[in-house]
Amino acid sequence: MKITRRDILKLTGGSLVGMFFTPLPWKLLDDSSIWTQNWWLTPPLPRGTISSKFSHCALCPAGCSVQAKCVNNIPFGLTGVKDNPIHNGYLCAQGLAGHHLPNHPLRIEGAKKFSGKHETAILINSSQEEIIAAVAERIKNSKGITAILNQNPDRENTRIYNEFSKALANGLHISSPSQENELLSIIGAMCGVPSYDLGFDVEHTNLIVNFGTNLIDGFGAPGRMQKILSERKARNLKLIHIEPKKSHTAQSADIWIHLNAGREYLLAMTMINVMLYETAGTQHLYGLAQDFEKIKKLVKEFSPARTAKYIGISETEIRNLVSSISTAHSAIITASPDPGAGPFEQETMHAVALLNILSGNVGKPGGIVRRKFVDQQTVVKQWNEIPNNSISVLIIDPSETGYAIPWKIIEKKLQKDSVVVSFSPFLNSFSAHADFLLPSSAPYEAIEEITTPVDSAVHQFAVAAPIMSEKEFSIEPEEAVAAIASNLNIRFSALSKEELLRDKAKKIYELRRGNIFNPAENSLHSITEITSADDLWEKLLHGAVWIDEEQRGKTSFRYNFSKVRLLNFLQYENNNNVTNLKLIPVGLRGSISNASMSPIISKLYQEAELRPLSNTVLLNPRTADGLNIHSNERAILETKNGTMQVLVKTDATVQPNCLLVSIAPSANGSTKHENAVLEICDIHNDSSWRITNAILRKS
Amino acid sequence: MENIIVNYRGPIIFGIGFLLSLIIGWFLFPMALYKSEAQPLQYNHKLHVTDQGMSCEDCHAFAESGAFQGIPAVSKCAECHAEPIGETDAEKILVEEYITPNKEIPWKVYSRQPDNAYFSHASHVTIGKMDCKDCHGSQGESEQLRTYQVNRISGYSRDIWGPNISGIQSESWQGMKMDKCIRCHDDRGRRDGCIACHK
Repeated sequence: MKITRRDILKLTGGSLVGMFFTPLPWKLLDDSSIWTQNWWLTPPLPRGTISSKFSHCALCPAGCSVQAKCVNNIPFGLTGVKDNPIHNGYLCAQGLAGHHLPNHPLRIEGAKKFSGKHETAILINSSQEEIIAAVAERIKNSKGITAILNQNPDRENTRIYNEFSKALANGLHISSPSQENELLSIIGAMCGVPSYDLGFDVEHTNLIVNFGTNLIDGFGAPGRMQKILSERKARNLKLIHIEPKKSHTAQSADIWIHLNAGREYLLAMTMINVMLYETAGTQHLYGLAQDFEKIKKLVKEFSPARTAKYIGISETEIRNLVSSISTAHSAIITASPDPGAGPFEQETMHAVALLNILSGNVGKPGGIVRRKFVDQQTVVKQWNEIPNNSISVLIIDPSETGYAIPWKIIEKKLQKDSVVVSFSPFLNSFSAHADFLLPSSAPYEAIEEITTPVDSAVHQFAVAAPIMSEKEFSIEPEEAVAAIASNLNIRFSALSKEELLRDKAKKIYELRRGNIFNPAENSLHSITEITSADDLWEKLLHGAVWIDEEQRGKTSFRYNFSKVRLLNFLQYENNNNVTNLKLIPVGLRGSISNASMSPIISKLYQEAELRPLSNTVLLNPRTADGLNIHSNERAILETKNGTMQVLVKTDATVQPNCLLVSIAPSANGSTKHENAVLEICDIHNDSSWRITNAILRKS
Repeated sequence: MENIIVNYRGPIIFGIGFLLSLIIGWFLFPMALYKSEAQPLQYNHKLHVTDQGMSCEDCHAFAESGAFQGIPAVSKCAECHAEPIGETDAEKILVEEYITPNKEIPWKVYSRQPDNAYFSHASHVTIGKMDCKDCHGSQGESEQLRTYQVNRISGYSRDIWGPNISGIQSESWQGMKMDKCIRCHDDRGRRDGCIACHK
């Protein structure tokens, strides 16, 4: 029998069909994919003794306590410390993967500079010496301000920055335009106390009235807040949440005040009106407050009858809200920046600050309390006090608040030929705009200070002790500033970060006050049991935290309202001429940049749609129908500042006519598209960018 | 007959190809995929558990920290076998090659998982109330160790996929892949993220 070509083809066909009825192709596919997980291109994990180290996460102001499991001193897993009295074992998704950051693809390895200022500029290698000399030279010849932008000014390195900026003819140390403790700063200014000496006493309060803050996982120490909120019944605590969108916190609140977007100022002023004109109990301010009568007069025109329709809730609801505050034994009225939408307008923050003062909750246990004194320095200037086009050299400290800041806000203050130096270890939305990059250590590679979160009634002190070795190519900001000072022949104390922190530990030891929680022994002891300042330092290096004593009783303040910034009704209406569609950027604390989270987390966001990716717009289905745009369609988002392409997703929990646009993480893992929406937002004079008139149309 | 072959020549050849593939895929492929490797010495679980009255935890203990000790170190064997007990070949190898020179026994572990999978025996046994048998089968009753079969491509033990090349598992201890972990967690109402197991 002759075998033909057709026979061979039929045999092959039969074999191929038969093959799919066997496990062979499927098993080969499975095994090959597993093989690629272990092939020679993947570095093998070290084998060795498993050890545990305690430290703190310095990725956001929460400063959560962590336990790192290591093999041969390389961390492979982070968890929260269950018995920590502040954090109660909490660690967010970013924190759980914090040990991945030193290997982040966006890490800058060594001193670099951009080849130019335009978009096509590329990063080129440089040396630390070359950059330090260039910056020093620039400062020497500068006619403008040399500024240090510090996003976490409560740390000890503020001393170094203050010393450096004071030594320069035009030096300034400036705080970030978006700070979690902004409300405390405003209240502090009204009562003559620095913000770091004030704290929200959430542990003892009976009522939290919250203007839009993500209390569940984006304010203070989330472990503490989650514990408190879960024990609401036992603590006799009520949460009233004021926000236009149905956020996680709105869903968990006892009462959700669903006001119209952007009407927070109007609500706060109306509440003050009810407090001053309809409720007894503000007499305590007579004689204690300068310019009180002026405020009373201004507030008069914000009567519930006039404002309720704009706010979107009834007059009764407003009165009930004020009544809840007046009848509560203690209350806290919070407002802090949104990670995407940024800070509230100054007038809103001032109105919320006044609400706290007028309701008698400042200086009262369970309200906004004064912490016991700890020697600390603060920054020289607030961002808004700096004139536009005035900075010729800007040095950006690598600390992050977890809140986005549009580059346009920074750029406005820069002179045309300014020089920007970034100390960030990553290529993020700030360092991508810098001229010179002097990368500092990545998280967990060098010691970092953990400051007191805003929701603490007492001071705390801990350090994020390194759990892996520092890279040769990194330089600590304090070291770099000292080197620039040396090039300028400035006499400088040049203390290292460790020396500064040791010094603070010594001062705390000498206070002989408060307790130490030691995670290694799982114990809480009085500081008096510590034998020396060195002993305290050793414990801090092993994950311990110092927790100060509470200030007992009520503190009285003499208020000065002369610098209170409020708008009258007419001014407010002129400033808030919002058309139908309102663009509101949204984000989550710590998730505002691809560079600040492990790629595994951004991948989870991308694949599981746990959070919307950058440039995704969420809008109410009714609004989408009105615009004839459907979910999962591409659309063009337009403001007077520019246009961008967005992906549309409908969400019934979004208020009609609101366009919630996610700022990060970006789908492709680069810094290019993250925070892009902030570039088309309106930036107000007070550096806020909450709401922008927008148009959405099919692309 | 000849007519049938002539008339149905095409389908017959197609069928031969089909059959050949089935034989290769179901019988020859598994033989080629897995390589048998001998354990360094034989071990009789039944003798230790039934005859000597030992429990699983006597050798496979949890440390004070809750970490699972896994395969016991040779020092554990030396507690009883410092001198040979009996005259078997395995006993001789154990004492002469491992206990006397204090060298760890290079056991081939049937359930070895990838480095990026973190499995806590403590939480599964203590909180999940699972029995050793649920995952490891009747290993504790065996009189001798099974031949260890390694997958030539992935490098993992055959036990990870399960004995049946089709992936069909008739017992709870057959197969130790991620889908099985997920299924079990789902059945017990656990809603864990990736990071619960992948560190």
